[in-house]
Amino acid sequence: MTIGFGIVELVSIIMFFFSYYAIIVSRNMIKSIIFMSIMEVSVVMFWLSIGFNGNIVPPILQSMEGHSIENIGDPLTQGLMITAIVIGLSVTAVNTIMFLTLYRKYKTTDWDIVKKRQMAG
Amino acid sequence: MLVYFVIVPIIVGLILYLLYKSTLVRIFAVIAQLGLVIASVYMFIQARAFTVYEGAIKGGFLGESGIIERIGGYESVMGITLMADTLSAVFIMLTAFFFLIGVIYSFNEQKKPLFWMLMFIWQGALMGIFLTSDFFNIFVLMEVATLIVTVLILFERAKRSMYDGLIYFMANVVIMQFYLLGAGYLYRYTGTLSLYIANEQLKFIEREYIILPYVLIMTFIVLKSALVPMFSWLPKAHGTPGAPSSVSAILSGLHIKSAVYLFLRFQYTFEVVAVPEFFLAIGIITAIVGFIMALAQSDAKLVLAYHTISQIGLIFTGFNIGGPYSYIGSLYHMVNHAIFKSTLFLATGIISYAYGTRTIYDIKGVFKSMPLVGTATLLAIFGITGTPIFNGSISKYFIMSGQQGIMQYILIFMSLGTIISFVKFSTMLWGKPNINIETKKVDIAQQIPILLLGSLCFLGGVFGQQFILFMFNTELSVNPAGYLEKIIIFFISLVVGILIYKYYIKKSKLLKRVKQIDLGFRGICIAMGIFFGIMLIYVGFLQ
Amino acid sequence: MINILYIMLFLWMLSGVLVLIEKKVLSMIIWFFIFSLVGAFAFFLLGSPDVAMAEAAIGAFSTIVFIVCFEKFFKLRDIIQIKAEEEEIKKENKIKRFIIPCIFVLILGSMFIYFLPPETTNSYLKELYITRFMSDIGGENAVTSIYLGYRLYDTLFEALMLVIAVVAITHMSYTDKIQIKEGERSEIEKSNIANLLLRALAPMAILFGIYVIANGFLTAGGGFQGGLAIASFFICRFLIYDVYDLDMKKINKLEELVFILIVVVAAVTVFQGTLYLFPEQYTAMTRNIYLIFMNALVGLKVACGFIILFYRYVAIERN
Repeated sequence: MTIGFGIVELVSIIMFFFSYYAIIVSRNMIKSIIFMSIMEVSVVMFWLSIGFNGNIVPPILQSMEGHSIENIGDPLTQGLMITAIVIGLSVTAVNTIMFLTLYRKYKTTDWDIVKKRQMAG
Repeated sequence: MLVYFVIVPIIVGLILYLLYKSTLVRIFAVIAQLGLVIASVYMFIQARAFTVYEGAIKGGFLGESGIIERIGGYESVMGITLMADTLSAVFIMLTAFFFLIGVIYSFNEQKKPLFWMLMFIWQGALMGIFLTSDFFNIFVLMEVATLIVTVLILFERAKRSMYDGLIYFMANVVIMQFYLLGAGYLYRYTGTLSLYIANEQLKFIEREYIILPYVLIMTFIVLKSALVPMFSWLPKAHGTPGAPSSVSAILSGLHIKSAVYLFLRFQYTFEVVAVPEFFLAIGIITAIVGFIMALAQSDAKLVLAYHTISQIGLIFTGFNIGGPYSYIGSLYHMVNHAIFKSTLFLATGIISYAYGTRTIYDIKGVFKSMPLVGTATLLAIFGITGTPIFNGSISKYFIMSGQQGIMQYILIFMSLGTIISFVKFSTMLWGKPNINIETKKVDIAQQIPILLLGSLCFLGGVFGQQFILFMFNTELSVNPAGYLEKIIIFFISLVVGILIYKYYIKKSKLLKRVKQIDLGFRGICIAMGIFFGIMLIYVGFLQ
Repeated sequence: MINILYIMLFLWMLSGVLVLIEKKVLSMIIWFFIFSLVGAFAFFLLGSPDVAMAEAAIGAFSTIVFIVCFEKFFKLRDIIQIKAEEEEIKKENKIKRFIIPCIFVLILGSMFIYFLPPETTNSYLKELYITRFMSDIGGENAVTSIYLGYRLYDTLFEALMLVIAVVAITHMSYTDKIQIKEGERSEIEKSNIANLLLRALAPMAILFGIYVIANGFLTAGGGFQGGLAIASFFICRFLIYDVYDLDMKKINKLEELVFILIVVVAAVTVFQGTLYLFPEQYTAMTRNIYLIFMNALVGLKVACGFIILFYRYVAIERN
C-alpha cells in the first residue's frame, strides 16, 4: 500500500465502520439520525478516493490543460456523488420529521422505551 | 420507447396531483392505466421477437431476445441502457396489471390527490427498476421507491404506524449505504456501471478481490428480500394498520419481487464468485421461520405478511436448488404468489372494514355474509396451498421436480406449514356470521378485482403449461405419475394439517412467546453486521 | 498538498468520533457541522470542487434542520425518560453495552481489511469521458456534461426524490395553520448584527447563486449548488424575521411544474438520441443554451423545494 494512495480509502472505511458501531450502540434516536448522515458522507469519501493519486486536478477545462489523464479527476464519480449527497439530505429531512412525530406521541427519545411501549399497545 | 414506461406514469401522477378536482380525474387515471397495460403487453410481444445484435450484451437468462434502448444514443459503456429481455418484460406486464387492479380497487375508497400521485410515481419507479441495467440507477430508484412506500404505509395515520414506518425507512437507508460501498468497489474494478459489461470485466480479475463487493451487495439484497436474519421490517411495513389495502397488496405482490429480480441480475453479474448453496440454506431457513411466526399471529394482515416471508424463502430455494425445472418453477411461483397474495390482502381489506376488526378469532362466517368475497378468498387459499388444478400446485410441482431424499421431505414440510397457516386463516370463512351485514354494503368496485384475481388462480392452474410457454418461452410438461403422487401427498398433508391445527396450535404456549419476538431498529442493524460477517467467512474462507 | 490532506482527514475522523462521545445535543450537532465542512474541504483536495460545494451547502442545511428540529432537546442531558424506567436502565451493564459491539465491529472491520483488494483502478471510462465530453455535450465542465448529458436519467430521479420528500413532509406534519405572531419581535430579530448581515448578504447570496447556476457548464458549480445558494437567502429570512408572506401552495405548484418541464425537455432532447437539434453552424451555441437552461431549471426547482422544506420545519417548530 503506497502512502498517499490507500490512506483515503482506509480512512473512509474506518469512518464507515465507526458510524455503523455508533448506530448499533446509540440508544438515543437523535444520535442514530445524525450518524446515518455521517455514514453517507464516509461512503462519498470512499467513492472520491477511486483513482486518487496524490496530485490531482478537477476535470474542468481551465485546470485540465497540460495535465496527463492520470492526474485528472474522474467526472463520473463526482456526478454520481452529487446525486448521492442530495438524496442523503432528502432522507435526513424525512427522518427528522418522522422522529418528531414519534416523539410527540411517546415523549421519549430512547429506542428501547419506544419499543416496549409499542409492544404494549 | 422503453423510457416512456418510466416517464409516463410519473407525469400522469404529477398531473393528477396538480389538476385534481373531480371524479373525472380518477376516470382519467383508470384510462391511463389501461393504456399502460396495453402498451406493456405490446412491448412484451416485441421483446420476444427481437434478437440482440451487439455481442457484448446478452439478452438475459431465457435466450437471446430482448429490446435495448440506449438513452441519448451513447454506447452502453458511457450512457445508461434500458434493457427489456423476456424476464423484464414479464415483470413490466405484471406491474401494469397489478397497478390496474389497485387503481380500480381504490376508485371509491381513496379520494385524496396525494394517494393517486404516489401510486403512479411508485409504478414509474418500479418499472424503472425492472428495466434498468445500470447499478447506480438501481440505487437512486430504490431510494425513491423506499420513500414512496414509507409515505403510503403511513397514509391513514393510524396510531401504530409512525414507529413501523420509521423502522422501515431507517433500516432501508442504512442498507443502501452498504450497497453504495459495494457498488463503489465494483465500479473501481470494472470501470463501468453497466451490469452486463461488468460481468465480462470481472472474468479478468482474481476471485479473491471480488469477494468484498459481492458480499456487500448480497447483504443489501437479503435485507430487501426479507430473508433471515433481516426480515423484521416486513411485517411492520406490510401489516401495519395505517396502510390502505391496495398498498399492502402491491407491496407483498410486486415490490418485494423487485428485490428477488435484482438478486437474479446480480447473481448473473457475479457469476465468478456466486454461491447458490448458501442461498439455498438461507431460503430453507427463511421458509420455515416464516410459517412458524405466521402461525403465532392473531391479526389477519400479519399472518399474510409473515407468510410472504415464507414464500420468498421458497422462491429462493427454487432458484438455487438445481433441479431441472426448478428455476422456471420459481419464476412462475413469483407470478402466482403475486396473484394470490394480493387477492388475500384485498379481501382482508374488505372483510376487516365490514367486520370492524382484524383479529382472525373474532371474524366468522364470511361465506354467508359476503359470498363473492368468500369465494374469491377460497380460490386464493386453494392456489396458495397448492391444491391440485390450481396454479400454486403447478409451480410447486416444478420446484420440487427431480428432488430425492431429504430435500424432498424438507419441501413437503414447507408445504405443510403453508397448509396449516391457511387452515388457520380460513377459519374466518366458516360458521355463522356474527355481524349485521345489511348496514354495510360492499363496494362493487372492490369486488370485481378480487373475483378477477381469484379466477386467475384457477385458470393459471388449468392452463399452467400454456402460461409458462407464453411468458418464459420454455416448454415444460407435467408428468402425470409425478403429479398424481403430488396430489396424494397434498391430501395427506391437508388432513395432517387440520389435525395439527385443531389439537396443537390453538393451545400452544410456545407460539405465544414466539409472537413477542421483535427486533427493533438496533436489532436489525446488528443482524446486518452478523449476516455480513457470516457470508464473508463462508465465501472467503470456506470455498 | 498531501500533508494538508492528511491533516484534514485526521480532523475529519476526530470530529466524527467526537459526535459519539458528546452528551449534549447541541454539541453533537456542532461537531457534525465541523465534520461536514472539513469533509467538504477534503473533497476539494481530492479534486472535486463540485462535490465540495454541494457537501458544504448540504452540511449547512442538515445542521439547520437538526438545530430547528432538536431545539427543545438542547437543555436536557442525553436521553429523556420517566423516573420509573430510569431505574431499570441504570441496572443494565454499562460495559456490556459498549464493549461487546466494539469487539464485534472490530472483528468485522478486520475481516473487511483482510479481504481488501489492492489499488487497481480501471480508468477506461474516465478516459472516454474526458476525451469526448466537449465534442459530445459541450461546455467545459465534465461533471455538468455527465449529469445533464450522459446520465440525465439519474438526475430526473434525484429531482423527483426532492419533490416526494417535500410532499412527504407536508403530509407527515400534522399542522396546516401557521400562526403569525403580531407585535413582539423575537430575540434574533432584535439583534442588529443579524439584521445587518442579512441586508448586506442578501443581494450577494442571490447573485452568487445565479452566477453559479449560469456558469455551471464552464467552471465548478451547476444547478444544484446554485439552487442551494438561492434558497439559503430565503431560509435566513425565515429564521430571522419569522415572516410567512410567501404562499407555499403556489411555490409547491411552481416546483412541480418546473419538474414536469425538466422531464419534457429531457424527453424531447436527450432521450430522442442526440442533442443536435439545429444545423451545424448553430451547434455550439445551441448546446450552451441547452446547458444553461437545464441548469437554471434544476436550480429553480431545487431552490423552491428547499424553501418549502424549511418553511414547513420552521412552521412546525415555532408552534
